[in-house]
Amino acid sequence: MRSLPATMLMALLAGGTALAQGPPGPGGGEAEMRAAYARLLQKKLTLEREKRLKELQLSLAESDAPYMVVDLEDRAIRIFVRVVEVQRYPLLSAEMEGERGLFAAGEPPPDWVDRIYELAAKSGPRQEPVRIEPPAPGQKGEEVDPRSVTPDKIGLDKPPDYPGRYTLLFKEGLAVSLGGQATRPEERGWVERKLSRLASLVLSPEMPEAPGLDRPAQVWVHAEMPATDAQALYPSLYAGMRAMVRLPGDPRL
Amino acid sequence: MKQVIIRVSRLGLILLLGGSAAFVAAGWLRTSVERRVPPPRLVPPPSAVAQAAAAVSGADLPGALKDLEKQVTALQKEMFAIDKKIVRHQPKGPYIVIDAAHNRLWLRQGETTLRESICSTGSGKLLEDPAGGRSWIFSTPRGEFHVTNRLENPMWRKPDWAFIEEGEPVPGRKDAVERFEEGVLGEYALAFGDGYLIHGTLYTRLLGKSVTHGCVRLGPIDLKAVYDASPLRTKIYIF
Repeated sequence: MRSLPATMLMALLAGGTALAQGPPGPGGGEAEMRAAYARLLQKKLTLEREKRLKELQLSLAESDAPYMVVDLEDRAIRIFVRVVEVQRYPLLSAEMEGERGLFAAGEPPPDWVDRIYELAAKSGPRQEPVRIEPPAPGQKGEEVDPRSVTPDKIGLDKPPDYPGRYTLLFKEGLAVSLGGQATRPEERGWVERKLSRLASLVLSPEMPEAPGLDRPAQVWVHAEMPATDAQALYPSLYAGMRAMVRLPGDPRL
Repeated sequence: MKQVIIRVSRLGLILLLGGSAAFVAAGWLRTSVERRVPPPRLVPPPSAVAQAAAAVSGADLPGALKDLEKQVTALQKEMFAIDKKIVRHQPKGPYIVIDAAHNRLWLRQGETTLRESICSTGSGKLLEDPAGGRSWIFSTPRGEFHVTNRLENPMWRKPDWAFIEEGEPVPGRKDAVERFEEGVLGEYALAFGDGYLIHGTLYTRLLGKSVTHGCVRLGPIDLKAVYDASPLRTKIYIF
């Protein structure tokens, strides 16, 4: 019992409460019964969604590779290893754009939603490993103080200047454009906010080259985050990284 | 008269072209604005659910309610089973999280951060053996690991690449004397498999930089704290 997570207990408690509240007794009116029905229906839909999300997360957690959750409910890009959240970058805003229009609530979701995505490419500079040139045979390497596991000079190069706005292209037809301004929207003036909005609409995000995609990008998530966060996130993302999307209104992960 | 007509025609043409361009741009901009929408919801809001409940006829309501109860109970059982699987993936006790991109290490327990440290991780550089055949990329591995061994005053056994990098001949034997070096790994080391260690460094000024051959370096105070808090099998998450 001690190992039961709090969320599980809360779910059981909430479910129990919902069941305790309904059905009404024989004397209960139709309105009361209908209210109980609505409560239970809401509970059922939420549980179904929670189950689906947790199944997705579990299958991502089967591997020990880090994965990403594009969390449109909590407005964050989250990095997990197994089920441990190791990093979180807040989003300032998120919008979507789709070829066929986005589905209405209650409709069955199209195939691009509710699945595991695999990152095919990201725009921005490609990182090729720098070659270490060992000294010629018979020559000693450059003397460093004192002899060490690693010569001091390695890695002292300027750190790469990662992009503050870029696009993540997933194999399954999802593209996520991330990044934005150096400052948060509330720190900007009215004119700057409007110009920034106009620029984000007029300037299409750079489309990365991604050979071997299953299909072209069908649906775009346009997410704004501080450019510094986008730069910090960039090196943690790699081709082949798997991801899932949590939509607004979805239960907690 | 002819000049006037030409000027008026030109002016009209310019106005026509300018107007058309503005019309097209405005339309395109409006479409751009309209095609961007908030992300959709899969769980409908309570108001939409109440509407669905209102659509059930009064006669069917008791039966529908019982069916719904059964479905909710079944779902709760399924969720219970999934949660049990999730619990298996959650670390018990303290665990270590390493951000190899930014050279940060956190010692955590549950949601609480017990300690945050600056570390050094792999340089990501490539070394090729001039004799051919072998190459190494000095990256810190990503994923889930655990402490496989705890060492005090560890001794470094230099691998082949350390000799190649320094332009020295590689000793033939794995236990050759020249392979062993004392003091370079600090006072403690936590092994997490495949030769990778969390260890100390002589070069504390390089902490925070990606300079290692894949191991994770810590300063002496952080190293002792992390070592003391990390028994065997402590989980290590690297991203």
